[in-house]
Amino acid sequence: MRPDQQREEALFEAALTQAPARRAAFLEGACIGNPALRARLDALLEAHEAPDDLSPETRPAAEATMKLEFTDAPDEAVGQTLGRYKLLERVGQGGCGVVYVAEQTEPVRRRVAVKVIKLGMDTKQVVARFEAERQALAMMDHPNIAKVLDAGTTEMGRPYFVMELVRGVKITDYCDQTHCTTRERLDLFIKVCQAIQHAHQKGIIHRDIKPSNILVTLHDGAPVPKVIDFGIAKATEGRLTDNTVYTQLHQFIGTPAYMSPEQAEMSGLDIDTRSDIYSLGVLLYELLAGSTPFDAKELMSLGIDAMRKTIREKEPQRPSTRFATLGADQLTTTAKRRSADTSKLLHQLKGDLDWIVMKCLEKDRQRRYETANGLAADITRHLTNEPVIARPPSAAYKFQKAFRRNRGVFAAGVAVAVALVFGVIVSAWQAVRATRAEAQALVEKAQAQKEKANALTEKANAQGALQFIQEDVLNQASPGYQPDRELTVRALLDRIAGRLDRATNRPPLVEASIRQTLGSVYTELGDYAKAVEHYEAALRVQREHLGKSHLDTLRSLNGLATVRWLGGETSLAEPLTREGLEASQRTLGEKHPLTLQFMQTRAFVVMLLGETPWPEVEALFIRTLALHREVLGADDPGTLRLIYGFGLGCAYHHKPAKAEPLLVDALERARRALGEERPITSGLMVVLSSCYRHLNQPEKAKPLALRVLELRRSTLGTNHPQTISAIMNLAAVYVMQQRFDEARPLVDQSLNLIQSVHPEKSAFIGAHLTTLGWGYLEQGRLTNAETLCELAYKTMRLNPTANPLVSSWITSNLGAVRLAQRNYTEAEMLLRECLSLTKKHDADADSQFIAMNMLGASLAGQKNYAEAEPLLLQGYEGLQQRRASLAPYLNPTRRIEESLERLVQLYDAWGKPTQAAEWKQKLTAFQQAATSKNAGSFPGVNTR
Amino acid sequence: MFAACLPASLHHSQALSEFTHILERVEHGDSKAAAELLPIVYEELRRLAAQKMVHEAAGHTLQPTALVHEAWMRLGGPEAPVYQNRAHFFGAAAEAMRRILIEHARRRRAAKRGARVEVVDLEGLELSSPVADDDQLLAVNEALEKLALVDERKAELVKLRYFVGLNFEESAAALGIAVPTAKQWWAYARAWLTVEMRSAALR
Repeated sequence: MRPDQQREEALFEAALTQAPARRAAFLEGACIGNPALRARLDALLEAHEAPDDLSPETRPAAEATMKLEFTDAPDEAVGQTLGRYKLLERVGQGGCGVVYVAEQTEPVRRRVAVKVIKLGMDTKQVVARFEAERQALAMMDHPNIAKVLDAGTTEMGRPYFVMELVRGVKITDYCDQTHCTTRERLDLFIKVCQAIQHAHQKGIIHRDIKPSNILVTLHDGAPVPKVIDFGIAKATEGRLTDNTVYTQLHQFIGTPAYMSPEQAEMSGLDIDTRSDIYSLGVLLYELLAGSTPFDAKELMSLGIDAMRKTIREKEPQRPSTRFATLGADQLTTTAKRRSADTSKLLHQLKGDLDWIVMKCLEKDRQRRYETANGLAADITRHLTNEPVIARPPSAAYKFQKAFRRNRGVFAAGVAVAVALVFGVIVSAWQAVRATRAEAQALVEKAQAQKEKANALTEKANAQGALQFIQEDVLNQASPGYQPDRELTVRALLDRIAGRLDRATNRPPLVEASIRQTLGSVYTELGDYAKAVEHYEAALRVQREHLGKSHLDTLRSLNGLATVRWLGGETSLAEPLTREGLEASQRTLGEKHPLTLQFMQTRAFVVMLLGETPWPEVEALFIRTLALHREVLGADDPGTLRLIYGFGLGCAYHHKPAKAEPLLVDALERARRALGEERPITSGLMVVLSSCYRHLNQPEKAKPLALRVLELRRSTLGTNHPQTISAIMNLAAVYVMQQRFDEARPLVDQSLNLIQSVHPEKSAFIGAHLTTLGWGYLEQGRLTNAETLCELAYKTMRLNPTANPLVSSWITSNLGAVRLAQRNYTEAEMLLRECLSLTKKHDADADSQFIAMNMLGASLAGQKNYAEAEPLLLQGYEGLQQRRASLAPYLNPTRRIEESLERLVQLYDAWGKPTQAAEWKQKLTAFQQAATSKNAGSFPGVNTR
Repeated sequence: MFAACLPASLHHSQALSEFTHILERVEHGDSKAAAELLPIVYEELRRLAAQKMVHEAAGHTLQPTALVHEAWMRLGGPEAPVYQNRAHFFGAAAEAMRRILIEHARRRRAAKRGARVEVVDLEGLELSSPVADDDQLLAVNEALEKLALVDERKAELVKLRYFVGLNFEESAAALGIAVPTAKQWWAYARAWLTVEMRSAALR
């Protein structure tokens, strides 16, 4: 190896041991005077970060098969003869058997596949299943089904059967390898449907339809699919064997990604041909969109109960939506494999094919195609441009679905309305039978009741309608599909609000109720000013007519408090939460859901105001969380939102490690129980992503940051303050990874967007700005850092009470920028302000020692050595003590090194050579210790 | 038990005794011997691959790791437990595997370009590429040849991992290095190859 190659390799390895944030600086130092080497290392490191398609570990399919081959002992059966069949080669194994290629000598000489029950698995249950398979297969005769030819028993008493040998590849692999178009895929799929139809007509359900059970072979150059392995087939009618074939509870047969909801139930008794229709739907989904509706690996990772719940309850995305949400690389590959470009494929999938697939995937099997032929016929209709049977769900159907999802809310509203209307009818009916006078009275009474009913129905309707908008139109607006939906909702809301202002004859309480709902929807839309307006109007009426402690009044109050802090008016929110919590505890009790909501809002507000010491706030969160879990359960959106708040607090206090496990768990629950589109799920994603950033793990932060941005862009629109947060979060990840070219457009975009939303009217934007600024500063990009830190500081100054907790961090970062610019006087001013803010909001903050040290440095810069000395010393000692608890992204090692450098500089400039030498020695020792610690796992590599 | 799975023809075959003989020479430091190993391994792998095609027929992909291990079992087997032998064998097998795969990738690509699609192969069976698409395979191979010029040992590692699919433990054992070293080498080699392939694509 050449010396320069050696040097390059050593530096490459050393750079990898550096935190990403430090790499640029490290390379800068290491490559002085050698720009070519620097460029080469940049290229290598960039290549290192690129997706890995060379390692065998990243090719999971290959790995899996390899292990299968590996762990099995050499097979003693090869070479043996079973009746007329000589086993030549073992070719694979399924759930219950091993498959061999065998040679048949008489009556004809041919090769066949022999399936023998696997060694060590010959339980009665497997034998029973095998019996079923043997007879079932013999009943079928179809060109697209692998024929069963013979059956028998080995000397050891194991049953085997002999099948037509199929030389082919998995249908999905075949289609991808030969770049089949959508049309070709559909043609192939229709043949599969016909094969399954044949089996169904013979009373056989496959029950394990998946790509590896459908092989494609070439006959005269034309692809022919063959369905193999009716391994768990079961007759719909009649008994096949004396032993009842059943699948024991908790023993999964089949592949979860292809399993129908009723199979996931695992009752084992209630599977019919429509289960196969479902699995065919999954297969079609994969053939068209390149992935299954639920990711197989994700399903497996959920654990058995959650997996079953997902399959039974979660509505899959439409194929076109799923395709549109693939990552850019996958998107292109998937399209290329279909000999189409992305937009063409998307266009092909949307409409008919989406609906055909979704009809197969209905949870309720009565809504699926009746037969496999029906499915094939509908595809044919699509191909010949006739109207298909599968259609987009009607409005009524959608409403039903919404009802199913929001059963609690809807049921309450609808039940009240129904009860009242019913009351009126009963009264009217009684009236007929009563005397005229009585009837008159009753009619009058009914009339009055009817009016009341109308008023309440109106309320129920208004709430129902808005709930519908909020839950479905807003959150379900699917990515890539009608992206202007958010605007329409907004226009609709503005119209409703306008009508409310004009009309006068509406009962005030109904109006209040509508305004309350409007308040909540405007909150969701991120228009905090409008939300405040409606909540306040509602509150005025409700307080007057219902009193201060009425449930509705309190609901509006909590809504108002929430939107106040979200909109950066945290100090105004504080008295509201106090008032609301007291009233709610008094009238509704400690464990009423609304009381819990107030506790939660209060916890957020107390945390953000930063006037209570952090340990107390933490204790408050933990207490509140315990109560939430007890009353609402761990999967409730309220409980999850509280964890989100706790995560925020930990992030603001630079304590990411504490929040991480809670957030990981909460996000998993939110994804599973609520779905990714819900605001709380994306909220958790942002906080967890920033938590990973704080832990110096950008590789974990990035996928979350990307996904959440995608979700928020599609469900909230680009102008929403929370979308801006997501953009800045992703930018910060890129900065940390030194992907400045990717960060830059995001930063530009967020700075533009901020102008339209008033950054000071948000609890979060200032914090995001300064975090980004810090990221750039750590990478030595001073100009970028200055812009962001300055903007953060200005934002904070415009509205200091929005999020006082981060104000010291904002001030400290601008101070750091000024220090780096050698603007010592301004740095001093800022850092003094920072320290006094820290004292007020987080007296025990680890980060105060960083500020202290920087203050010392800015004094030393002004030749005020005497005052600088104690600050530098105290800062250094503090950092040493807190080294372990400092958040990794604050880079404790670098901070300590920096503080030592500053001490050396101080004594040098002060003319105290003895102390200077003493500290120089400490600095060298520290650097050596740090270097050897870094290089520990890679002996022999010099990192400097 | 194991003997049962050996085809009878191989038991006393010339190939086997020759193989054992070569391994002994390797053990005694005969550097030329390793090179002689290659054609035997190569033949055996081709034969196995041809047999294994039925594997694919049943819906399973041909696994190079499995092939190499099987070749080892048949040629070396438990009677040849000396570690060095195994390591040398794996080196030879990796090289053989690389040649087989490249040969097939080239042929397939030529067939794709050519006027007539010709799917004649080994014993008349098409060998599906187990690692990646042919373009990548050939690009990696080209870059790898360059890497071998500047750093032969790392190129060996790449052969074992990329063409045979060995994991870090196995490839480290085959090369006689520590697992962390193998990881370190791999990181550098992978980055090196990626950079090389990118610049080759631009040329």
